[in-house]
Amino acid sequence: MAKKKVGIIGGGIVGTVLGYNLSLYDSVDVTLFEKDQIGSGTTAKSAGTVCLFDDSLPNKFWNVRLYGFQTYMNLEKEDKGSAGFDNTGTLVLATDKKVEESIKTGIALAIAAGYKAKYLTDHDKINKILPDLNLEGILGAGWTRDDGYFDSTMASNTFVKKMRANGAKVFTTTKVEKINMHGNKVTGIETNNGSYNFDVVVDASGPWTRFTGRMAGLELPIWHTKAEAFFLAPPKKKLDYIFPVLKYPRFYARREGDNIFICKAHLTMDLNDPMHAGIWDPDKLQPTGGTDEYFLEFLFGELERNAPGLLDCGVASSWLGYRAEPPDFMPILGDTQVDGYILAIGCGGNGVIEAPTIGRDLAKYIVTGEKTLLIEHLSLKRFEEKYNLKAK
Amino acid sequence: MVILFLLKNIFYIEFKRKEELGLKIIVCIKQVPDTTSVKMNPETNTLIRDGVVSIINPFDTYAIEEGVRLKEKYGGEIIAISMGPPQVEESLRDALSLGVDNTYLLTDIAFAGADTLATGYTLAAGIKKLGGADIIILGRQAMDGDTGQVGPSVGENLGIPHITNVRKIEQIDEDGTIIVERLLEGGYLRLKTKLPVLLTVVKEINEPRLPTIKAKMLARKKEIVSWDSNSLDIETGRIGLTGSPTQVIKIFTPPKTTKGKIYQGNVKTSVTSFLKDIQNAGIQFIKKEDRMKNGTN
Repeated sequence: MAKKKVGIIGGGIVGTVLGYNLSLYDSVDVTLFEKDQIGSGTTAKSAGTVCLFDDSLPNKFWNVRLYGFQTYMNLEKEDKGSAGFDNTGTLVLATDKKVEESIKTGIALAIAAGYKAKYLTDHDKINKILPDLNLEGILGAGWTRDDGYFDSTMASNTFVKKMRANGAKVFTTTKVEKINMHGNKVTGIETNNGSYNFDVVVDASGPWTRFTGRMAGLELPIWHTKAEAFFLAPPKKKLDYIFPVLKYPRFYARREGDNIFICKAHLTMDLNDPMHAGIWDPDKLQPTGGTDEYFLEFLFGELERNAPGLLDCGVASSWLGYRAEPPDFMPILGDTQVDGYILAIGCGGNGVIEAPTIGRDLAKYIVTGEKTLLIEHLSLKRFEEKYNLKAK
Repeated sequence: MVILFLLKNIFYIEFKRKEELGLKIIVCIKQVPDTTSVKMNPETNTLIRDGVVSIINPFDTYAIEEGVRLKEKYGGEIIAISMGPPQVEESLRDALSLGVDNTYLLTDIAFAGADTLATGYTLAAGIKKLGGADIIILGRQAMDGDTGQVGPSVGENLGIPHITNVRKIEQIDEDGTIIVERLLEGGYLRLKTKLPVLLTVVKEINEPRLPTIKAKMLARKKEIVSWDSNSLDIETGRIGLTGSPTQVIKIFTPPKTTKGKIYQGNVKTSVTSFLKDIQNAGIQFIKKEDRMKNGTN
């Protein structure tokens, strides 16, 4: 029996995990196309925080979070450093009762899965973990030493290495320029390096999704939100403690070498605010710079209130990235109105967390036709009524 | 009590010393495209400026840092001045966040197309309007033009001594003398002169600080004064394109004229082949005993 030919557009964390999962099936011939380098686009600008508990992905998706964390940890077990794990632990601050409840639920789930985690209400103990915090008005904090953050570019490259070992093909610096169709069925793609025939084409192009979808005649409901990150250099050039992944509902931070990476939380972005969201050209993004004045003001306000000790840090650099967000901030997975055109898009600020589950479940669907609850729940159908999904 | 009395007097003397010296420092800065994001259009051989990030010329950041350090040590005021289009305000704001007190932008379409001569003349006119300075500092050269001419040109136009490639400001005395070290190939010169003076500095002089978030926020609230050509006492024939005897006609990447050769195979035959090639290229071999005879080794 002929193998099913699957082409993946996009070599970020979602595309590479999917590619690896597909390469595990004998019945599939998988090829991945990346216009630049593996893990170089929005994946490279990801914070890589896959924490056991926080509010960026609701607790009802606990299995997604846990499987994501365990997948990267398994890479580390196989080959230390292959997922770039930095075991700093995570501190999540409870700013109100609702957040506190979510943290406590997350802690219970983490403990049930065999990890160590606790809820601290003693401010001295919280300040012992992170001395620069002002804890006035803070109810408590969830703390675990068992997690941290991953290097998603490194993890993407590891998945590529593994899929290549399984016989899959990966082309970098290869831009998909056209999606070939016969009637309403995808038949293949054309790139700057040649044409390829496929039974199935998967869009995993992250912030490029709007433009990729149009090649298949689709106007996909994805907006860009700005991910503006600053890298702060401590006044003494080096921190004398391990800076954990720090999560507040409105911003998060983690260490980056001797510096501190800090970014506005993706769920605070308003898709109707032109300062926050729009449809922009990700090709015009620069490796550094491009941040907005409003973000600096936001950051100043947050640090002044929550971490005044960090205000004396120097601003070493900054960058602007685009997250790909659907209106409900959850991914869009599976079928479209176009036969053979499958989506693995809209992971926004949670791509690194969600990629392992998306890759596993979507590969299973492409090969067997069986949908997991996640694929059922996050299909494009949920936007059909409100949005015209046909490209003009 | 005695200790307290002594401490109070020591601090008073230190405070008074700063007040007495009270230097007026002017730093000239240039906004340049960040070379990490600059690309060339291979067809037109021009810079692709679309989306290119602009930064303070990296050499000028050492000038700012030295100015700020002098102010911290001797007291006084530090001013940054620049010539360029309105978007240079962004770089002047960055200078404010690094510790500069006040900034001035010389901006006018009439200044456009200035070469180093016209730029030096215009900046000097701006500095004259500011009433001059005790010390004027610039980076040794701009990252985009690489000429190193603007500093001395400003100094000449102001009629004050100028020292290029300064690697250290050793001391400034109350009588207005300054001692600096000027970097040379394989050494340095220790020079003494009277204020006012213009210095261009090399990157060995300090390690520029980073702006803090707090400083960036304060910088946003400060005013940047703009002056056009009518605000300055200048001869219109000496500014902009009209006042520039040199013009950039073309920017291009020089073609590679040489290519490498890889010697492969047996080591002995490869080395013999290599020696033959360099001998053919005109390089002479001197035997060891002949070298010893001539006193060279």
